[in-house]
Amino acid sequence: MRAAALVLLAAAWALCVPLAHADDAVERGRYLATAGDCMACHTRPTDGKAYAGGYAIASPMGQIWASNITPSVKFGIGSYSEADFERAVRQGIRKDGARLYPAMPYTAYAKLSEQDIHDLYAYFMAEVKPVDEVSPSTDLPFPFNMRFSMAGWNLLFLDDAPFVAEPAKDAQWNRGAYLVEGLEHCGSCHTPRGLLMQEKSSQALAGGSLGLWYAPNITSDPVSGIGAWTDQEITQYLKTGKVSGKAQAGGGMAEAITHSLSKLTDEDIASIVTYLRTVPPVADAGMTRSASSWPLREGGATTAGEARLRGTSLPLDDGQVVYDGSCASCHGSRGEGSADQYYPSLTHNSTVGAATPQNLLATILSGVDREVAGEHVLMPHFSTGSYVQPLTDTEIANVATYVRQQFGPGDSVSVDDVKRARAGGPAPLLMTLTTYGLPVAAVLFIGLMYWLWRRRAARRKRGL
Amino acid sequence: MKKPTFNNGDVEADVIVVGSGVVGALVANQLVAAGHSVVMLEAGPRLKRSEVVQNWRNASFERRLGSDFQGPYPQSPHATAPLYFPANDYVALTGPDASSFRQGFIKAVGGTTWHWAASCWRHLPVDFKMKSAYGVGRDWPIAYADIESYYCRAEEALGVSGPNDPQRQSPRERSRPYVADMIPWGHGDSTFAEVVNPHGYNLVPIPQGRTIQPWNERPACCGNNNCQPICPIGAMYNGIHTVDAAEKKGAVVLEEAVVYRIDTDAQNTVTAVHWYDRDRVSHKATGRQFVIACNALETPRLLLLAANEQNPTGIANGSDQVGRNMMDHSGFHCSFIADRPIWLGRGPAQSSCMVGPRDGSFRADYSANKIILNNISRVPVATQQALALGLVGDALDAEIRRRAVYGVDLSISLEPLPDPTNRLTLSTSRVDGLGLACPDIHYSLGDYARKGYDKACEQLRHIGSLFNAEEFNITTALNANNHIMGSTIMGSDPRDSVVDENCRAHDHANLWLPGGSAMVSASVVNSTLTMAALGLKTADAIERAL
Amino acid sequence: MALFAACRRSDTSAAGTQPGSNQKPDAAPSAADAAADASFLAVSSALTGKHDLDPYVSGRIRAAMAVHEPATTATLDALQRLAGTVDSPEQFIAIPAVRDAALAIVAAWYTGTVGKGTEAVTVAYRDALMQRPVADGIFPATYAKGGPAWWVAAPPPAVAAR
Repeated sequence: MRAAALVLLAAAWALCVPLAHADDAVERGRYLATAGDCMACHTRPTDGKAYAGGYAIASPMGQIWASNITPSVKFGIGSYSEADFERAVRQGIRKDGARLYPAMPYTAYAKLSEQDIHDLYAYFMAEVKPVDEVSPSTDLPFPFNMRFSMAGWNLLFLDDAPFVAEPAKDAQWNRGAYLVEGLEHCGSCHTPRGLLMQEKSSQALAGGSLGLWYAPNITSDPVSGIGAWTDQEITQYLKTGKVSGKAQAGGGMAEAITHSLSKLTDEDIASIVTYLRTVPPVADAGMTRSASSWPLREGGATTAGEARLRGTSLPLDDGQVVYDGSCASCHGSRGEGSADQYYPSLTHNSTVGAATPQNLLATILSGVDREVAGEHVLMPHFSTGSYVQPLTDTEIANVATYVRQQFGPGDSVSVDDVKRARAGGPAPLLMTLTTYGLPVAAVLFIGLMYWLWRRRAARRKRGL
Repeated sequence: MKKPTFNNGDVEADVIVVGSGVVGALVANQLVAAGHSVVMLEAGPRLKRSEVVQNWRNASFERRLGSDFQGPYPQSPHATAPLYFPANDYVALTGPDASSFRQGFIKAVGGTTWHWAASCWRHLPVDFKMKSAYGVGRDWPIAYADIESYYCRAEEALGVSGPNDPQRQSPRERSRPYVADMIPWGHGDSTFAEVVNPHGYNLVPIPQGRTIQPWNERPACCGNNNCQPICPIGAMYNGIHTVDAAEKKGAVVLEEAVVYRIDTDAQNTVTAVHWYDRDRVSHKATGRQFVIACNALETPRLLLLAANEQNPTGIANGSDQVGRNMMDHSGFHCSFIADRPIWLGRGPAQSSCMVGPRDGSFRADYSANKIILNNISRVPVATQQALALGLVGDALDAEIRRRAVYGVDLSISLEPLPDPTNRLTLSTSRVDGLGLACPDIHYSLGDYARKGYDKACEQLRHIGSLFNAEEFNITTALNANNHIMGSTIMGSDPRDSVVDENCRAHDHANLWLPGGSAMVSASVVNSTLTMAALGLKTADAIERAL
Repeated sequence: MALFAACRRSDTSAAGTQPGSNQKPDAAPSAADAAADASFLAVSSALTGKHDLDPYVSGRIRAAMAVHEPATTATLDALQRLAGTVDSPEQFIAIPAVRDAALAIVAAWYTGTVGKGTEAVTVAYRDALMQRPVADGIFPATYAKGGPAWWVAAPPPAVAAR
């Protein structure tokens, strides 16, 4: 009797274990999806349903729409097998065979282990709610609309081998490497790209331009990168998006912190920090001081504070007037920020002191939006439609110059810089080449054909 | 989406809205969202927030001490609004309480909510039934229940933070929670509540058009303490937010467009309005529905100015009530030095208010009141007083600190009754920059509110005693509170009212006059939320009419 | 029908600034000006008891008073002579001959304004001395003391720690 009971118990347990494993897989998958930050691209901000797409990534080539990856059969990945899922995530090939653009960071996700792919699949299929909404299709200009060309690109640049631990390093370092190089795909933003938009692995994490925003150098270089940051500072930045009196995350990094990094375990954050400290230093030739060490003079104050402005009729687009009227309420009349640093100081601020004013302009034009642990931080933007005051190109150029000179490295910002930023930032060389190169190539081709035809006609005439 | 069509400087649209303040903007925004073409004609210019902030900081100590909230706002030469430092004589006031009606309002895109305290109160249910309940004033032709859903929508449009604890609500009847919970109190509000609430004064959180978390892309309030004259960071609701929203959807706003003439046809339907542009060239706006929402001083002024052959006493004025029944929350101040630190000036300008005296059977005899803890920094007043004592050095600093930390200012509002002799008429001697007659206003507070003043003084002396008040002072000259009401009063009888329950003019089927001018009873609470609710109710009615 | 004079255009950029206040912000002072500025600063320090006064603001007050407060300006020489002989602001204003001028200068520093009415000149707002005594608990309006809801925290003790 007891034996039978034991057998039944064992059978029941055997049946339960796979179910328990299934639940575990979904939970692990949920965490992996957070670490991979699928949400940031695949969900429209503010009003989108989770993972239903409808959010365009502003790539230099044009808008790339993130697809619906809910298990909707009609509009999402509901009909994907696990193998289909793996092919998409690790090789960038959709179920219908079309290639994904590397805006989907499959080059990073290629590092994911089989187990993690399995768990992600379990999460997406079992837990994510299917949303029957179509996400717009991407339509890039020629020649980037030829998706099959990604096959060639992948041959050149995709290493689709999963992550292999380095035996000489400890588990924490390897976990950090797996997270940074794989799930969190930091290099997608922070690594500079080559002519064909491939990540330049020799300069891993040395900084990359993303159109409007710039993802800074996070190598271990003490001046150009984060080599001089303490472990605690990096940890705090990753968990909260902010280190008082030093740095704060905006743009895509704010999204990454909100949706992903702030939700990682302390161990995973520590692993990331461990790994980041060992990323080979890459120095930025132009940088003499670290971004958060400006201005040179102590106190950072303007000599006259706001006294220069009081009771005078300086033009409204004077840099200090714009600063006083639109910035000083929060950032202080001397750039000191609020006492609790909810409004950051502009002195010793790595955005203000960065090698270029790109992120300062991006901040003025897009504001800052982060939400961590229920606390929503918002700096309003000053572009068209601002709740505070839309600023003109001249006003932005002047106030950015004022800020760079009073609180930063002392360079200037021109109206053209502002116009370029508003238009989405400088275009990469590839865009310029294709924009101008194709017509030139076409003309050359036609010219060549004509010359060949004329030569042939001339030869015929000579009876050759 | 339909857009207005332009032809040689004239414009045609489904809906013409005159006035781009909170009411006009809410109407325009709703109608353009519903797919109609909308033009907003605003007499004044567009403003730059940062310019107004600078103007305030550049204002002299004297003007800031005197609360010159009008001064920092640029005006266009053709759209004059009152100024007080020094005074212009745009409005001529007569009557025993003339000086109490010195109103401030802004003629600019976005209207007067550029400078307000964003207090978003509802009327009490009984406020709609003053005649039936207390035998004074008039009844509205609608009940609280008819407007309650519009109050909710107005709170959502303005982003109102208010107490979700019913014990702290006034009124408690509401069908939806506030957009966000109350703006948290500072030390001053809490201290005051501890002292006065055991005596029935019921200091409650003021529902406010701002939030302390970012809301709808609007930044969070961080207590710049400058609500009037201007919020430097756009955290407080300003009408311009709704104007911007409407413009984004395709409404067209024409600034420096002063309407001066209204055309009607044989059925007395409005066919067009005419306006002067900044070069004094006249243009015409034709449409199907017309809204005039220029505040309760400028709306009746326009209606009277636009008198035409068919309507010789003024547009919409068959009842002869246009410009009459003018009300405002005539008010006064009580200041003293308390026996414990209050620290006014931390946080938004007005966060708590005693509403105990807001209602009761006494309202059959005399006016209710409300008493706001005026949370504006006492430093300028403290400095003026300390300097007047001839102090210098450490003693001066200590005295400024003492008076700023222990000083209290209360702002009290009274409720005048609608009195047809309190009226606006057109001046026969003064014209504005366009040659249009300026407004004259006759104002008498009335015994009802005067008795309310006396009663309020009793309450204030008692409150002062609870704080062992020193230098206790109650102002005897009443001040205006810029809540102009009543001048195109709502009613079901076209013989004694101007508009119906949807603010449609009795005389003109397609003319709407939403806002403060339609209000039948003042209550004692700020009128903006009620005005906004009326605007949304009108917008619904216009949608049905289109 | 008479056009009434009060309906005039407010200068859009200077609305709120007063006529007579359009000082050039960065005009370089002459040697005589520099000496007078230094002297005024010394007088101001003696009158306020503060030794970190902004020389720029000091120069603006002196220049504004030269235009709008002739009586005070006429007393500057006397004030300068006495500045070195007194130990405290209270002692300074106890001297009847200079009392009014002394108090006028103190008022200018504290309120950040020189003169009255439409002629008044604003020289300071954020840094007007009247803000200092409460700076641990209140900032002047339009300058945020903290992030949202900072005012919920308990204020400092009523008597400032020294």
